[in-house]
Amino acid sequence: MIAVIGLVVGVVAGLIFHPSVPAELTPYLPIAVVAALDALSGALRALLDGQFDDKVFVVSFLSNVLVAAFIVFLGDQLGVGSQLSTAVVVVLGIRIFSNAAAIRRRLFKA
Amino acid sequence: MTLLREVMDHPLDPGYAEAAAEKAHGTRRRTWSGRAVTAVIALALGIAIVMAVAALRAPEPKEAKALDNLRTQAQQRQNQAKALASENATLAAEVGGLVGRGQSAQGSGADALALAAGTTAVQGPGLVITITQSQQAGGTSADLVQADDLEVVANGLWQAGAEAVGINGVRLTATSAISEAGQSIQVDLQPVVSPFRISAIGDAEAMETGLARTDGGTRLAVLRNDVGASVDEATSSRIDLPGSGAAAALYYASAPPTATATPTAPASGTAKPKHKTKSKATATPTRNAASATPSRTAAELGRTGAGGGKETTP
Repeated sequence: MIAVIGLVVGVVAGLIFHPSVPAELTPYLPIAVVAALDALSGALRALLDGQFDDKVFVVSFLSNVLVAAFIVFLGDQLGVGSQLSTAVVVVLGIRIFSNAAAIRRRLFKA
Repeated sequence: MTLLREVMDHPLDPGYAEAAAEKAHGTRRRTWSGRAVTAVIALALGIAIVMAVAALRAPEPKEAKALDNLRTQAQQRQNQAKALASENATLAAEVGGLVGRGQSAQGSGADALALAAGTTAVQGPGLVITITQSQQAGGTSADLVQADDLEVVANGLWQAGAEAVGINGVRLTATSAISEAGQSIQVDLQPVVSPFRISAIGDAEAMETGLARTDGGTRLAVLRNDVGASVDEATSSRIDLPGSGAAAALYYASAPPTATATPTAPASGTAKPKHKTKSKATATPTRNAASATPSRTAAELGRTGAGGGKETTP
């Protein structure tokens, strides 16, 4: 639970203080946000399954965001940035959908 | 396919299952330092994600910068254009003065001619038609006021007996052209923007009723009802219209021999030479190059419609 509390506090702090992102990081932001959504949906599903774990959540969140950003960075260097972004979005999108479906089944039994 | 099946069937991180199994066996040890690290990382991630979302929702700084650049450039160009216009006006006044001095030898008829030709400023009562473009106007030309509209209305005013007409402070003369360059409207190559104030000096009541009978009145109704522009007609006890400066220099047109024989009838003789002036004006290279569509002169059309120099008698 401590990870969730930390995340919420971090979100609130970010909303209050409006820190700005360095310009060179901007290309990776959309993918990072999608990766974060994937980690969040996974965490929610694990919570409903009774398997939630702080450490796994934080590690998967961090690694998701970093790996997604790194793939886009690599793609940019190779000149296939937009294609790789699409690949990452597709994979993460499918995962978000499947997790959302599992959450829905668990919540509504349908 | 295995990859897709993996993604579809096992979207949940396997780590969660392992952690749960460890917990069930009781082999999991949690230290306070570990929890603290977890909390700190979670905090940092929360802040980072909010930063990312905020940055994505903010407008692109590059675009904003480019927009600023364009704005300042437009401002500079406008200032330049204003400076050049005022310089042009002073030079034109100078030329007009010199021409006037030269013509004064030819008699006082020159002053009346200059007044009628629109080269000198005039004032008097009249009618002011204000056409304001709708704010919701989209990019389509169907809901924008166009050069053609101003032209038709100006023609209608001439027909209705206007003695001097100006659009947004630009005097219409025998050689004026109302043209369109892209989406902007130019009167005598000077851009005019909404609200368009078409001022006409003359008998206001007669013009108001007369205009309703012309194409100009019809067009105003179209503008009001179909285009969505607001059209306002107001009588004014005093309208000031500037002169166009010096009359266009004539290089090709000259009076026919018969006309020179009767110099005493300037008012009735204006109708024919006006046509020549106009065709000459469009033939000069500068005018042709700059105006996108050398459209019909409002004044010219009005003159042919009014029939025979009616408007030149003040």
